[in-house]
Amino acid sequence: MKKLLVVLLALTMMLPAFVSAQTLDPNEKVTLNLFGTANFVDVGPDGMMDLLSGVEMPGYNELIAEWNKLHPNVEIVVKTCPWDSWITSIQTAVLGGDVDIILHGATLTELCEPLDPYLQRDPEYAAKLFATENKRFGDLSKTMVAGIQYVIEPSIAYLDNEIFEHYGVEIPDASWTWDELIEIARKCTGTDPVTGKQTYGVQLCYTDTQNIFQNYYKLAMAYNVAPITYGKTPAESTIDFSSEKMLDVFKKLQALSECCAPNVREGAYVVHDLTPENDTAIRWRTLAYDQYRKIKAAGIEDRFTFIPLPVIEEGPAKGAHSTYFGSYNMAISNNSKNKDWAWEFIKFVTTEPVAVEWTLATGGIPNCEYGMELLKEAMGDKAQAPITVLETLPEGFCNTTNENYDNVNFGTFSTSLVTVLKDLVYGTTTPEEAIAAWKNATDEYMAFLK
Amino acid sequence: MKNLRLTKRELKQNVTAYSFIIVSIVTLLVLVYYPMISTVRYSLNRIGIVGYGEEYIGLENYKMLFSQSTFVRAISNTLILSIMGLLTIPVGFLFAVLINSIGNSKLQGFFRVGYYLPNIITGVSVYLIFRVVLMSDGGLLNNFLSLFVGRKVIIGWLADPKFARWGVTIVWVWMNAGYSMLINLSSLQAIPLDIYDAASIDGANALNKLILITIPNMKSCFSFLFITGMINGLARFTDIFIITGNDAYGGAGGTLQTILMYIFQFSFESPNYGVSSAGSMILFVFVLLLTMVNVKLTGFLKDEV
Repeated sequence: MKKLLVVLLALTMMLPAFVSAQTLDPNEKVTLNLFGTANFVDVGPDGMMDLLSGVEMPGYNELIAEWNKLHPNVEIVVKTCPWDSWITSIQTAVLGGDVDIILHGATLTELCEPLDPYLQRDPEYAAKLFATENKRFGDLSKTMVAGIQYVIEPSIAYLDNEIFEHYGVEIPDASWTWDELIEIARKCTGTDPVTGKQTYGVQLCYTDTQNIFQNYYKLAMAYNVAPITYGKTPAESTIDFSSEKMLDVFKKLQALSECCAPNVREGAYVVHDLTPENDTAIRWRTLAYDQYRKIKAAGIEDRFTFIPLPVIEEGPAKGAHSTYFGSYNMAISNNSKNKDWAWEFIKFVTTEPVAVEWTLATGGIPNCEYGMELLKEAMGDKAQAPITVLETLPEGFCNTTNENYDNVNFGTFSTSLVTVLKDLVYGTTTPEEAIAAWKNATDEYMAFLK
Repeated sequence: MKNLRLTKRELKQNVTAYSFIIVSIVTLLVLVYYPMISTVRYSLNRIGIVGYGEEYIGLENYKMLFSQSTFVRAISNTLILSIMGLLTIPVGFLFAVLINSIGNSKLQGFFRVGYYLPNIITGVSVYLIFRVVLMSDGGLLNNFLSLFVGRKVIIGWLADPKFARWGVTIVWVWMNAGYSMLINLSSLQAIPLDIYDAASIDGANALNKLILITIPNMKSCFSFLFITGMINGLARFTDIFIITGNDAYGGAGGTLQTILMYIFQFSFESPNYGVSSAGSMILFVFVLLLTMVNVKLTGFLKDEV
């Protein structure tokens, strides 16, 4: 009797999966509405040409045509919105009720269908992915998958071989540490002994945008600062700014900023791409494949070495590499009436070979094993850096809601970090003052939550 | 007592007139008053995303805002920047006096257009150009100052908390002095020349005329520019947002974050519409009060009547 009960219970548990698998009727006429940004807005329906590299990128109509070869019964309707105020555009569209897939919507967790059950139902598919958009929403003490990246862009370091050579500094290997990086940056800041031109040791990334926080993030990850202890709700969570590790990270950021060009420190007219005029020994940022295409077009690909950022020295992810992901993701709107077809489309975009090839052709690194094979063919040895980062990625890694950084749940925690980092990098505040200002703004917001 | 109710006949007679204003009334109700009332309602609720549940929390959003030193700083920044922005009035007045002194000629027309030109240039391009002009290392302004002091001047006009407000004020004055000049000039030219002639006969010099005749006659013009300048200053957003690199956090130690930028961050960056609506209501009350005080102090409306 007991066994029968167990079998019945197990069957009941599997019923939803069985039922949902049955819902995909190939003769059923379905319209899937996609709304949002991501690279769909960049390449447009008919494609575009990158003005710097001259590379032509296919539009999303090509992707949809491939999907329709497999599923002619499912019509795909794409509406994109510009990056300016994309969050509110997505919110408005989803509330309108006609959105099935949110392009780049995983940040808006309240609108997203949790995808964990879908991944559990499809372990073979899940195994092909390097990362998923693991967010903390609802119960913050655990993560849920809010979306799937079809483009994944780990930050890596770009070293200028010429500057290294002129200063007599050896190119480090992938096992380097942040202290070694700072040491190299100091050595390479000054007047180039060969060309006589001013060079800089390092370029902190995105100092001209809110993404300046990525610099903190990578160092915090390397030293496992982990100031956030999650409770079930933001009010039950705590943030500790008092650790020596945090101070050390801010001091390292200060040291690095002293090796940056003045315009980088000020966040004014920062050149993010690698160019023949490069004057900086070490840079880091996302978009490795895009960078590769640009330097190849300029004929300077031999001048740069791509390596992973320094290793994580402490904590559960010790030995992996410090990084930060850029990504383009797809999420299923939680008021979609076609969730299973939406999931099928996400699977198609992320792992179907023709879709993966389309992703790479648009300049993005695809989030699957096949994508890495394509990347090796396209980038040669230089593909090893992003691949190493992805292969050593800590389990359940999430950029935006983790113990080091959260831009969703704690209001001014993330926004005031941007302010203090800009001041720290420019040199108008000290690490101690920066942390105190960050703590003060965050404490006030946390007090409101409680 | 007069019967205020419309008879059928009167209604029929006035239907054409009503049909003209009904579009404006509906537009006002739907696009202005309804959103305004909704903002009041949102400000009393906890709202992550509009339409995904509202929880009534009374005045908690307001309490939260006033407990945030960053919000209080945003209010103070807005006030300081608004007051600094009033520099457009004396600068505009100075230009107006100089241009007026040329006399009514083609040259005057040339300068009038010339000084007004910044007003009709697209703001975004001006702000981006000023980012270069005000750069601390190699910026045009610092290079220009270096010529005078004989050594390299490095002032963070947009990055250093000590100078950043002056940096954005330079841009604001450059953009708006032309408008101020035009209003001042029209007021200047409206002063009867007889008064100046009489003063000359009485032996008044140019400075006497400026202080005793011109400035008192410009009172209503200054009041108008002061009130509109303060209202525009309190709603400052676009120029500072763009010039600090599309950063709603205000740059330079937060010294450039205005109330609207503070509201923006809770509307578009880490959405909390209850908080941003409360911020909007505070700004509304703030502008209303300040305008009322200004009107009272300057006697602006009284003069108009």
